[in-house]
Amino acid sequence: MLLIRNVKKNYGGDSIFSGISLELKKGRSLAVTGSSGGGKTTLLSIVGLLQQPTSGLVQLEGRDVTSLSPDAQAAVRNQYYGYVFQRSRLVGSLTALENVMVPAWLNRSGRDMEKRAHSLLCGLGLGHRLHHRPRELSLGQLRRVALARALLLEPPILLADEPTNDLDPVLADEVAGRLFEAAKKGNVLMMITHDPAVAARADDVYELEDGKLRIKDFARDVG
Amino acid sequence: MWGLVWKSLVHRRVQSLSTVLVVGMSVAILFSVALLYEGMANGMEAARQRLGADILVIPGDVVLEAGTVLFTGAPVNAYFPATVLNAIRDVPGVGQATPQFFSQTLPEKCCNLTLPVRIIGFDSASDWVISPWIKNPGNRPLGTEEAIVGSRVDVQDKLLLLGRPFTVVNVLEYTGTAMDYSVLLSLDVARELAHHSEELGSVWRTAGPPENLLSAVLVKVAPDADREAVIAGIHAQGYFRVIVATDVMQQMRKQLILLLTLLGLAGLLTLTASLLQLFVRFYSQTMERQSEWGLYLAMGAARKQIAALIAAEALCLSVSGALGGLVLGSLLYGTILGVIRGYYDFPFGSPSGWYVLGLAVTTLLLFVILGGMAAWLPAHRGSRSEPADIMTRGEYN
Repeated sequence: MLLIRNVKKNYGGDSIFSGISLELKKGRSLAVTGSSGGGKTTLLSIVGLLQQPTSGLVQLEGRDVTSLSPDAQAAVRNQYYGYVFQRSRLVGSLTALENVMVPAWLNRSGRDMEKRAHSLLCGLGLGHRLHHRPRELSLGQLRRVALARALLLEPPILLADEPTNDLDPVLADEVAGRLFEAAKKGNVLMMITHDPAVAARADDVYELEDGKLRIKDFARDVG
Repeated sequence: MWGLVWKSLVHRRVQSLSTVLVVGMSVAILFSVALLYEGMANGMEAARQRLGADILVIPGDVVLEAGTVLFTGAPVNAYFPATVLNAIRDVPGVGQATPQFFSQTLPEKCCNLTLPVRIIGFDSASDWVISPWIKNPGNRPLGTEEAIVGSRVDVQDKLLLLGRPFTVVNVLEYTGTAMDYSVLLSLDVARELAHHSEELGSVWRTAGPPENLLSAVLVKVAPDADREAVIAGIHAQGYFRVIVATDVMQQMRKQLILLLTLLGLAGLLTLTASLLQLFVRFYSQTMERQSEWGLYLAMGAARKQIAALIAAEALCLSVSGALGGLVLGSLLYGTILGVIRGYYDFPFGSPSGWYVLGLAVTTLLLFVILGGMAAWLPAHRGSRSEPADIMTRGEYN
């Protein structure tokens, strides 16, 4: 589904990472761990077409999407990707329900999607918070609204940047559970996490250290 | 996308309302001042054309403002002997002179009228003042049972004045003055009617029978004559008030120009304030809402969609403000006109429907352009936001 080939990213003269290649298959989940500032979020944003790599390419269903125009990439993002950002990134002037509806409004499928948005939020225990603004929601509620927004258009690829960060264990388990459940249904899931318990639920776990991506060696961690 | 525009405007309702209000106020002031200016310009022009005389001679005891007599065409019930006409005609430098006789005002309950009207007698043989306003002028003088009515006198072919029937043979063009509410008869017939008027009976007992009286003589100075010498010559004939049209017009124009300048300045200040408000509102957005637009880009919005979103918000605010301002401006126009009329007597010709429509459309277009200009910078910057920025920003903006 998604192939990352020899991707390199520099900021100014500094290399963040180089030579990263990955394959993300339908129905598989992948977790990336690593120390803070190691470039995990940058890698996720390149995979998600939110920024361009310095070199290398991202192939989606065999097509190089890194060379597309910004507007064509935007259309790909809307059609293929669902994002849960490190911070929830909601629009402060919109209610919870409206925030979930944003991707649908942008691709003009608003009317059809309202029921689904409603049901997603209710399913995440936010039925009583539909018309509340972000400032009226708790951190856990914000994260669940962001999750509902990522799932609204049923995108084939889900990217999540520390989705359980700052959440209590029960909420963290619920949010992670939703994402892994989507992967089991045939989606691609790529997740960045510091939580070993969450990472352990992924099919593949990688570690990004010193600009290199390696398969996570749990045995070494335990040792 | 319109959903996002609407939500954004509604959720920022205080900002949105204040912008709409300021735009509306400036449109209202500009619109009403432009209408007043046009009305006054029309009125002055109408008065200039209607007057057609350089000098108006009326009895010396008339206490009305010169402008009232001259520009509103308001008749006065004051009289001097008819012999004055020939005396004035004999003054060196007088080119033409024509008499008028102002009779009483008829209330609407009298006769078959819907509004109070003035009866004015004029001499169609020597007249050059009223004749140009007659819609279908003929060469023959008015008959003893014929009348010409002002454009606002609502009668059909027949008119009953103090029990006497008249045939309406012509109608005047709209002048924007008291002439519009007048019935014009031949000089002798107007005098005859006045003779039998109970209301004016006491006047005739003092001044003598109306058949020998006049109310005003309008004078045109000969092309090469010295106007001051003519005025002095007229004064030498008796106790008259001599109103010089150009002096009064200049004075009135000065007053109106001052008034309109003040109103125009108020309009300009409000316009400047509304422009600043629009620009500040949308410029500040380039900083405040960068991450929101970045989020939309990340969610799949095309760059042109972001630009359209920002422009649509600006246009909604400026157009709704302008539309509200046009309604408010129409009300303001009526109010200001009423207030000014309370203090000044001046000729006023209401702007035509086409002028009002054209002005409304122009004002609307102006604010559409200004709204677009105010939104240009944020739209330009917003559409170039980096979607990756949102990965590193706060919880919500």
